[in-house]
Amino acid sequence: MLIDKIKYLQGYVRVRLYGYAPERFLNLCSNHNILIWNLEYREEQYEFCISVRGLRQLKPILKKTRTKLVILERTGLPFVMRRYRKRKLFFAGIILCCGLLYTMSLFVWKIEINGNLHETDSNIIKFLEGHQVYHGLLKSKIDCDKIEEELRAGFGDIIWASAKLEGTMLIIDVQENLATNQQAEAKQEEDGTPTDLVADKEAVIYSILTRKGTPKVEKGIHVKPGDLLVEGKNPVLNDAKEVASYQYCVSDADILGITEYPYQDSFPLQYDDKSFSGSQSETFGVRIFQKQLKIPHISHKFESYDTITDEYDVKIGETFYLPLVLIKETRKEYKIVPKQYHPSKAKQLAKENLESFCKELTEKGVQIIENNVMIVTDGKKCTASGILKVIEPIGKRKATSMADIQQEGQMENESDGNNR
Amino acid sequence: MGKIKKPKLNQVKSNIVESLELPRDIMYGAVIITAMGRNQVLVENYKGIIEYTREKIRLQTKNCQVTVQGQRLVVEYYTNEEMKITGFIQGISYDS
Repeated sequence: MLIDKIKYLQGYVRVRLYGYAPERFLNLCSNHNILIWNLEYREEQYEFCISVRGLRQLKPILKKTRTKLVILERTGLPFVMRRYRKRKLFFAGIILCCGLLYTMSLFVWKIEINGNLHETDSNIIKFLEGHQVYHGLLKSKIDCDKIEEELRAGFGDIIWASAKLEGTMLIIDVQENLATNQQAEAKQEEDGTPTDLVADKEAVIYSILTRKGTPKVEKGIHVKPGDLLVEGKNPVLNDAKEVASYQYCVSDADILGITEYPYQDSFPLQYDDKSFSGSQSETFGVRIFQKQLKIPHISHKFESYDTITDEYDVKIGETFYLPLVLIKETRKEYKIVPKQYHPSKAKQLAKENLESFCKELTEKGVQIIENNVMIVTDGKKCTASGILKVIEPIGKRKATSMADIQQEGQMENESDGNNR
Repeated sequence: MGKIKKPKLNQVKSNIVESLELPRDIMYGAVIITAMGRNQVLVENYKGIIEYTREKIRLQTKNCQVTVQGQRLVVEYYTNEEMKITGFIQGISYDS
């Protein structure tokens, strides 16, 4: 393959050889290191290909072997150049094209971001734009180390970033900290500030298991939002069974409560359905830099339609993106048809909605114990309403209020510490 | 004297080549013929072409002549060291 290309670039001719001693001619050629290929014998004459450079050295050999040579065809770039030597604009165009390609290769035309799960691509690109890294920036102005640093500093949950330039593409790999929330929680606990657990919603306590702190509720007690469940301080009693001081701690408990979720869902039986007529119109366009050029839709005019736009990046090889995007826009016509659900179908739909709601709850770690939802279909709409009784973990953290116990208590506490 | 010495020298040379396991093609200038399937023959270490038609290619090597017989024979390329023959090969024979 490559050898063929090189042969084409250097130019070669196909010649016919005849005369007194063609075999001797061939041997002399190989002795002079003149390459001959595709040698064929045809009606007592030889036909072969020989490079232009080889052809120039043939004269003495031809004379010696008393053979003659006829050029059958010329192939290769030198001959093409010779044929088009008067077309100056053509060559100018080639040079211009090369120049343009080179200039385009100096800029970044695509930013690719890999490894992000929480942060969206557009979010990161917006952030980079804020830091003077954008599409169409000179590649020489990009400092990959700086981008990495800025990304790490700018996004709390990005713990590792790597930026590299490949062709006209800036590739950014990031690694996000997936355990951010858990860590933050753990940190809060490690923080050491004493905390209480308070109810975050109305519930009946189903079970309570306290690891740290003083439980303030029992099984079966009804609590309202804000009620104290576990207090983050343990009273220290003196000999007279009076509270002398408090030991503060970060309370920790598993509290399950029975809570109620109201469920309400209703939808009209009549609905509009999109019915695609099947006719569609296509148009094409290009986007150069930020400018968009499009051929308007002429063939069809639709009243209501869906628009599907496909964009194709123009690139050379894998990574050399050009600031040119081909756009294909398809409009699909549809008509709105009013339709009505059959009551049984509506009921099924309501049931499905309820099921998906329940599933969502279960995924959150909630156990459903009672499901009192009624689905009613009257002439116009379908209504599902009722209450779901569930068991779920309750309780949220709140800083413990420091009790102002009499000075002595604290004094005592301190002296206790000293004695130990 | 010289006539007696020469076979002796040859003997010594072949002994050296045998014992040191030197490549024969370099030491003796032996021809190497690589036939791939029925359509391709690669000949290395040849001296020159003696005869070439579409049915027969005769090559001179250091010690013997090699004839490749077949139909529609074409020399794909040939250089000082090697040549590649394609076509429908019917036989390869050696003549001294």
